[in-house]
Amino acid sequence: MLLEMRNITKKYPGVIALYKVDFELRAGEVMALIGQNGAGKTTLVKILAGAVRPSEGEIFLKGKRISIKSPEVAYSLGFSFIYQEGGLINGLSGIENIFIGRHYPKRRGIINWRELTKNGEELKKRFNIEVELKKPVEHLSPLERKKIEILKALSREPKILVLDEPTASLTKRETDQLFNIIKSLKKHGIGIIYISHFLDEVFKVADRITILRDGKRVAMLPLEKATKDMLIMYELGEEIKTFKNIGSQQFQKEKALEVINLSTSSGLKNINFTLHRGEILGIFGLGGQGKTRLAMTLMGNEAILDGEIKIYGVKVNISSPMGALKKGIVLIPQDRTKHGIIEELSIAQNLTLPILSKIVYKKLPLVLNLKEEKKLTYKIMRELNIKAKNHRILIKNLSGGNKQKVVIGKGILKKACIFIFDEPTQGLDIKAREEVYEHLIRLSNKGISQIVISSDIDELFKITHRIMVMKDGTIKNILPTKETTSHEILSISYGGNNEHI
Amino acid sequence: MNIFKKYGTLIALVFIYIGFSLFAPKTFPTSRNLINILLQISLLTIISQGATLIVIIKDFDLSIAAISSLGGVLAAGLMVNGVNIYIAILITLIIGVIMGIVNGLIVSKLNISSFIATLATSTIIGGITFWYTQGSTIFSGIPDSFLIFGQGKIWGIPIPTIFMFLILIITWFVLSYTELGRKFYAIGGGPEVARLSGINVDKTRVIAFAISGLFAAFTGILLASRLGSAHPTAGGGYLLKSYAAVFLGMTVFGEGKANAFGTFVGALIMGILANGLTILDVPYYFQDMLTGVIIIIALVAKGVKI
Ligand SMILES: Nc1ncnc2c1ncn2[C@@H]1O[C@H](COP(=O)(O)OP(=O)(O)OP(=O)(O)O)[C@@H](O)[C@H]1O
Ligand SMILES: Nc1ncnc2c1ncn2[C@@H]1O[C@H](COP(=O)(O)OP(=O)(O)OP(=O)(O)O)[C@@H](O)[C@H]1O
Ligand SMILES: [Mg+2]
Ligand SMILES: [Mg+2]
Repeated sequence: MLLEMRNITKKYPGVIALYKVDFELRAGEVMALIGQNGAGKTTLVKILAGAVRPSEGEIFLKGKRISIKSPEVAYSLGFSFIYQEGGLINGLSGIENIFIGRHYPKRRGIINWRELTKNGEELKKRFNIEVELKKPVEHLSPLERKKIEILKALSREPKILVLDEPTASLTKRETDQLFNIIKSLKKHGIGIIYISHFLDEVFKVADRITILRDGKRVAMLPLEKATKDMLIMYELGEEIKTFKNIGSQQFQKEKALEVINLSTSSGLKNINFTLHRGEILGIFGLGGQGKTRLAMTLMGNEAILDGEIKIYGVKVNISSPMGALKKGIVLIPQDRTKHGIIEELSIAQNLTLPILSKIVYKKLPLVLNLKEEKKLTYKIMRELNIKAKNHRILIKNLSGGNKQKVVIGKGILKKACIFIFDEPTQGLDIKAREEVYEHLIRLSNKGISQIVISSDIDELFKITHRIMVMKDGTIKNILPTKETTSHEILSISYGGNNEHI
Repeated sequence: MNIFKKYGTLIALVFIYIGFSLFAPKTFPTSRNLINILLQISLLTIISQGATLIVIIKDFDLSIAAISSLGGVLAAGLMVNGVNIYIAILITLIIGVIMGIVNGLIVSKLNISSFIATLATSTIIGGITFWYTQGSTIFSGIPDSFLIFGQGKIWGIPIPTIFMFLILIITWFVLSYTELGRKFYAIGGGPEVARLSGINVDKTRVIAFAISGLFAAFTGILLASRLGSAHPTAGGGYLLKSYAAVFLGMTVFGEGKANAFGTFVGALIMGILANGLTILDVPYYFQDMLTGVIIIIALVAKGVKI
């Protein structure tokens, strides 16, 4: 056995994140780790990373008991990690991030950039990963950042590689690329722990599966013995009710949002589309094609160079997020740490950030009605199933999926006529995802228009009326969902050239 | 264990108090001395409440000492020249607010780091103060009716102490229960998120600097009244001490954030140390050294990141 964890318990004040969990990993296998949001997956991984000390339990590496006191120890023992969030240092370029913490090659005491770049390029070639290494990482799209993180992890020649939801907001092809890398690593005898909420991925890549529920291990089984329904049963403790497809519902003719010939300083060119009342318009595109930039532009966060925007027939001038909110546009952003939530504030304080002026006392303007705030917060926590002890828990103490639920909750608490969801289901478990779909459909039936950006093409086919494809900062095509196929959408996104699919 | 981590600073405060009481049982733990300590920290606490807001929004305002010095000489100067004392006070407070607004505008509109911007305005304000006073202290001609603010008492409690508690409670209320206070914490935690949530970040920052300027000018006025004179560098000592109080205060309650009562406790710890060590005849430079050491211990023990 390469790695064994026995009886691991981790208690946080008021929360038992893990309770007497056993876990094991063989050399050359992929062990999938699955479970609902807040089940304890990331906590287990953080223990291996030396970022969190277990309250109880033992860890063995190749039969020898080890104690992982710090991240340095973890790395020196051969662990490498791709974290759920925030694994890169902003301000540094990709190449600097990849080799950080180790000796950069030097010549006469000065960093030898040519050598460093060469090492980076070799690494890219070896694992067949294409990404720009010179840009500061904060300018990269999430996919590009994920690729940098993968290169960083691989460059350490790990014996055990841990991937915590690496495919959130990756498209299928990119996911497949990742799986090819994983397969080649297996051949080198590397043990891999793979966390994901996508069961399809688990069936593609895993050899064995460990399932956590409420901090306890409820099952461990080889892939051959698993079925999808069974895994869902283990994960949720109940069967899942899938919501009904939007299919028959039609949106209305009235134009909610018209974007005409829009060009921006962020490189968007000639954007033309219309969003109707009650319509759900999907946007698909590969990484870095301008989806998020378009969302940010409509939110008033990018300078518009040319073109116009009309809301319900009226030409508007959106020059700041405040202005966009006033016009009834609400964005649920993709990058939750940068744009969505404030880690140091509580759930309640985050949720009400955009509606502060709505929750003041009528007779005492400027003074917050904290009772009202609490009531609203509990309503959202119930609706979206946010797992936390109470509304005062700080965001930084929530699991990744629960943070994402707060981002969504914060958006939908605000009244709007147009919602823009940028990768809304990233990090959500199976059940939560279905709940979000249901919510979007409900909004649509109420006549609220939505733009849903997603790299999960199946998701778009489930909920949208039309799908718009973006490439190179412009719109390639807009197709009614019922009249197209994922094959067609993908081939447009790759530039009408099917050979890569 | 957890209790120590959470309330370590308060526990330390109690121990320091008990310690001095044991060493100087006759002089230290008396109600007269307690009132004395509170008076000694009153002005520091008032000016530090402004610094608390500034630290919450993750900025610095290095001009508070300069503004308070100017506040003192301006108020005194106006009165000496025959301006009604209330009008003189009002004008001084308005000037304090204006200086704060200027700081805020430079920081938010011109996008200059607040550390550098207020370092510069601090120097400018210091220059104006010397120009106005020609470097000399104002003492003759200050009306007696003005001295009551710094030297008077109501029911045995010094008036500066009453002002301190008033401002403390207002700041605490604003920070905990109002839209404005919430916006301060939001901007400190994530300015980009706050902006995307529709908060006017620039305006809110300007308001914080304006309040900081207001409290600094008010502190200067009280100081002039208490001393009966106004010196162009009278407020100089407040800069480091007020930020020390704020940082110490961040360790007082649960979450490691700057807050009104925390700052008060921070100032109180420094006041008790100064008072107790003076009673025990420990030289003042040793007091300063001890204060510095305590701040570092408190921040490290609590793991507060600034
Ligand atoms: N620092 C912390 N303080 C308090 N509670 C915490 C902390 N970190 C995690 N928790 C709690 O521990 C539980 C497990 O969290 P964990 O992040 O391991 O979940 P997860 O399985 O990774 O979920 P997700 O799929 O949402 O990422 C959650 O209830 C979470 O709120
Ligand atoms: N002014 C500009 N001109 C051209 N490209 C730019 C400009 N500004 C940013 N970019 C690039 O745009 C990319 C990010 O675009 P965006 O975030 O809109 O992608 P996306 O389609 O949302 O991708 P993902 O699916 O990964 O979220 C980055 O590669 C960034 O370097
Ligand atoms: Mg997680
Ligand atoms: Mg994006």
